[in-house]
Amino acid sequence: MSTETPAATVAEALESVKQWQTDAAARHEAELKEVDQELSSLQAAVQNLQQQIDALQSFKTELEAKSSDLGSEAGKREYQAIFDALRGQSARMGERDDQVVAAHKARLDDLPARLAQGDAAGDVAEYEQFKTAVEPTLQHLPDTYRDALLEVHAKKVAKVRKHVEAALEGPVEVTGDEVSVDVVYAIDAPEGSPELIIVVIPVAATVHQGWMEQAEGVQLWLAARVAQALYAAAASVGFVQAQALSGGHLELLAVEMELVGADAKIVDALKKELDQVASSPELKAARVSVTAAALDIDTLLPPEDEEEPNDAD
Amino acid sequence: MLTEFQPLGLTDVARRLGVDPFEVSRLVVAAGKGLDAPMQFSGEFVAELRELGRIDDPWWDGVDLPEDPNPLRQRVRAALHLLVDKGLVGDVTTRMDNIWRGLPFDDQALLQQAVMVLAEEGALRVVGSKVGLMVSIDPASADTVKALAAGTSESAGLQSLYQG
Repeated sequence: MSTETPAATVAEALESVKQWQTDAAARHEAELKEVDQELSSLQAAVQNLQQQIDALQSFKTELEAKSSDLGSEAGKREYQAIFDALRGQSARMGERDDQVVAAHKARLDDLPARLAQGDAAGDVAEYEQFKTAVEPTLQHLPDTYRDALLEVHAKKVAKVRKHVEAALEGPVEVTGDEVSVDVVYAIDAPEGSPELIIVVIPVAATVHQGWMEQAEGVQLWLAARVAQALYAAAASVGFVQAQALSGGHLELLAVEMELVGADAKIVDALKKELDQVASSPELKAARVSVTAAALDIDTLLPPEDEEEPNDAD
Repeated sequence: MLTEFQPLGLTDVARRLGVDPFEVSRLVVAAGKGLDAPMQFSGEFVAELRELGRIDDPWWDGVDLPEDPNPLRQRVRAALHLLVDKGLVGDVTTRMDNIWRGLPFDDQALLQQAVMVLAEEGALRVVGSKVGLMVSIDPASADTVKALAAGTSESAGLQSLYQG
């Protein structure tokens, strides 16, 4: 029931309704505009949120992929880190080689002076006198005289040899910082039984094959001691067909030995013998400290996408 | 003059024996020396290693190579002749590197490969021992090896080896 005063005339009543309609239409139009603006605004917000969702989804996918690749990435980094460290050690071993060679030369240069003292002096002087003054004349002497002289000389040689051995006894000593190196190895036993051991030694790959052209030093000694450890372990379990093969891997010397057919006890024997490499007198005298470290076989093999042949000789 | 009396190092021993340093390591183990023993050796010890390791003096001094247009086959045939002449058949073995000791490096590598090829083909036997790899002619293939040495027969593996 309306409380408004009824229009006086029908025309006024119709005009009033028309006015109402105009006002209502204007009001609705304004409200619709507001709603449209609100809708546009909300749609823009939704679009923005969708973009954020898409971006997050994409980021999530990336993270999931990274997460699943973490193992292989860690493997690559582990492999790289191991060989970077070993190459650094190899470089220090090369420097220590130079020091060993120099120390060895100095010891030999000093030998005459050391033998010119004490008991050795007389024996060495007589020996040298024989070599320079007597030996060239021996051919002119009768056999009996010559034999007698040579018999005396042989005794003198034995004495001089003992003097020289005493003067040069023990490994060459080097002063300076200790060089710490790792001999890393892995034993492959996919079925439980050992099939292969790989040892990577922090020395130049050329040390073994090029031994004839290089002066002997800590690099070759370490490599030879590792070979000795492998053969000692094989011998301890009666594995006579053991054969150490060497080759280069990332500039370092790698040694492999097939273990198929060996008693499983060889695993413990290998660990024990490789630990013993540290006790080698010549390495200790050269201030090289060796740690044998057992690693998982996968950490010593190149990642699958960058495998390179191991040129075992 | 006095340095001839100095203790021998690893490479001195390897040179004297005509083997590589890893083989010296193996022989040192066979001789009962541990990792704590100094890497200095006497001439007497080297002689002991030589005997223990069955290391022969080089075989090739004065050896006439057979006539053969292919120098690789010529060297391999000569090596097989030596195995035959020395009666190295079956259980009568020789240390494998005796075959090439004293030869130039390329010839050593060639003979090493040839021995492996013939071992794979069953003509030669290669067996491990505590002092190194030993080789002999497989008795069942003695005639084959003689024919290869004479140049009247050829092995597929060796032909492949000669072609590089």
